[in-house]
Amino acid sequence: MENKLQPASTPSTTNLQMEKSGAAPTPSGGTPSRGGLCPAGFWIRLLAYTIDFLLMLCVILVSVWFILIDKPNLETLLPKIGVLFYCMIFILPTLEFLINKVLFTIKFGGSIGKLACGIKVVDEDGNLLKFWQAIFRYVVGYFVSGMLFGLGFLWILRDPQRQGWHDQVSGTYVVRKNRNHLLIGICLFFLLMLANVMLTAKTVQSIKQNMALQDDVQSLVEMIKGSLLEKDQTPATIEPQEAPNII
Amino acid sequence: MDYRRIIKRSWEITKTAKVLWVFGMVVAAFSGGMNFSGGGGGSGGGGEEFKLPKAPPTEKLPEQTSQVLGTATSSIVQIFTNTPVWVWIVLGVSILAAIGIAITVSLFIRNWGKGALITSIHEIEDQKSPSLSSGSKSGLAVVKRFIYLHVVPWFVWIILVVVLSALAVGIIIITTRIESEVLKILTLVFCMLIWVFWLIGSWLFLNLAIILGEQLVIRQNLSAREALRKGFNLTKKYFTEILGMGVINFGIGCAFGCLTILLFALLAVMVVVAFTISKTAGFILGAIAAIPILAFILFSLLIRGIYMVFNTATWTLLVREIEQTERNGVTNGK
Repeated sequence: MENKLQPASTPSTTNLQMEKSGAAPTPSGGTPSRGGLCPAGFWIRLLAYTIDFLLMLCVILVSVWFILIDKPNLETLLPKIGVLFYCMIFILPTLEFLINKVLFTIKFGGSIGKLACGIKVVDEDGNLLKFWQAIFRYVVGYFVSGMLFGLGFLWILRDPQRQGWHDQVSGTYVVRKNRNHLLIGICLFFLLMLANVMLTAKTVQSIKQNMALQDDVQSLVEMIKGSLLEKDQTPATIEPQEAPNII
Repeated sequence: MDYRRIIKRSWEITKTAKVLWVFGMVVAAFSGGMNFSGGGGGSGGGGEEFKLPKAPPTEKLPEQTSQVLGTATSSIVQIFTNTPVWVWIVLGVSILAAIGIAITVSLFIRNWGKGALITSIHEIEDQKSPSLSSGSKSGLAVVKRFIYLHVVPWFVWIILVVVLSALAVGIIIITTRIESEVLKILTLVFCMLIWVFWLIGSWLFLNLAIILGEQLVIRQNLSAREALRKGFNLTKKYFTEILGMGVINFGIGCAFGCLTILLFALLAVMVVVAFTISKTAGFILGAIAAIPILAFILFSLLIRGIYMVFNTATWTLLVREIEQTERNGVTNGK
C-alpha cells in the first residue's frame, strides 16, 4: 500500500505505457518522454497560461477603449458599461473556454498560449484529446487542481512526468513539440504585456480627456458630498433603528 | 458487525492513503449539510437572526440628502424603465443557463469524485495501490449511474411527500366535519403520526439504500435501478447493522463539529481573560489564537475532505463485511 500521495504513473508503469505507445524511455533514467517528446515543465506552462490571460485582458481593454473613444457622457456610457459587464461575465469566458481551450486543444493540441510556447496536450497514447476529454480536463481537472490553493498545479514541479492533478485525473500529458517556440512565447508575452500597458494608458488618457464624463461624475460627486454634509461639516448619519424580530 | 474494527481500519486507510484526500475534497466541496453519507464535521456560522428594519427614517435626513437620494433613485428608475424588455429576457436566460450549467457540473464532479473515492478504497482493501489516474477512470465509469441514484429516487420521494401532504390536508378537512370531538382529535393525531413516521422512515431508508446502492454499482457493476433495488433488499435485511453504522458516523461528525466549536470558544474565553488582565497579554494571546482559527478556515476543505474519506471508508468496509456474511451464508441469526 502506498503511504504517500504519488503520481499516477510510477517510472516502471510509465515505461510500460511507453512501450505500448512505441516511445523509448530515457536511458539516463531522467524525465521520460512521450512519443519522443519531452514533458513540458512548470515554468513554460505558467508562461503559456499567462499569455492566455494577457490575451483575454487585451480583449477586455480594447473593448473598454472602444467604448471610451467616442467620449461619451455618463448617460450614454452606462448602457455600454452594462453590455460590457454582460460580455465579461457570460460571453467572453464561454467563448474563451470553448474556442481557446477546448477547440484549439482538440484541433491543434493546446490554447494559443500553449501553441505559442511550443507545447501541446496529448493523451496517454500521444494523440490529441477528444472533445469530452478536453472538457473534462478543463472543467473537472482544473477544479481538482485549483481547489486547495492551486496545489494541483504546483504538483507539476515535483512529478517525474510533469503531470499536475488535472493531468493525472484526465489522463493527459503536456509535452514540448518545438523547443524553438519558447523564444516566440517569451516574445509574445512581452508584446502582450506592452500592449496591455499601452491600452491601460490609452484608457486612462481617454477618461482624462473626456470632459463631459468628468463633469458628469464631478457634479454627481459634488451633489452627494454637499447633501451628505451638514453646514458644520458633520456627516449626516442614519441612526440604526430598532427592528422588530420577525424570525 | 465489528464496528470497532471498521472504524480502526477506516482511520488507517484515511491516514495512509493521502491520494484519497483529493477525491475526498472533491466530494466535500459539493456536499451540503450533515447526513449519514458524509458532509458533516463543519461548524457553520450564520446563525444570526434576520431583522427587517423599520420604515426608513426619512424625517431625520437633511432635506438636501433626500433630494439627492430622490434624484438618484429617479435616475436609476429611469435607466430601468428605459431598458428594453429583450435585455431583461437575455439577462434572465443567461443567469438561468449559468445556474443550470453550475448545477449539472457540480452534480457530475461530486458523483465522479464519490465513485473514484469508493473504488480507490476497494483497491486498497484488495492490496492494490490507488492513484488519481485509476480512481478517475473508475469514477468516470460509474458517474452516470451515480447521478441517477442520487437524482431519481429523491425526485420520486419529493413527489410522494407532496402527494401525501395533500392527502393529509384532505383528511384534516374531512375530520373537521366529524361531530365527536374525541374522534376528531384521535383521527388527526393518528394521521399526523403516520405522516411523520412515514416521512422520517422513508427518508432514512432511502438514504441507507442509496449508500448501499453506490457500493453495489461499483462492486457488482449493476445498473442504477438494479443497484437501488438490491440496496433496498440489503437495507431491509441488515437494517439494524446499517443504521448502527449511520448513527456512529453521525455521532463522529457531530462530535467533530462540537469539538471545533468548543476549541474556538475556549480560545475566545482565554483571549477575553487575558485582555482583562493586561492589554499586551490579550493582544499576544489573540494573535496566537488567530493562527489555529485561520488555519481551520483556510484548510476547512482539506479537513472536510479527510473526514469524507473516513466516512466513505466506514461504509465501504461495512459493505465488504455484509458481502462476506452473504458469501458465508451466515446472517447473524436472521
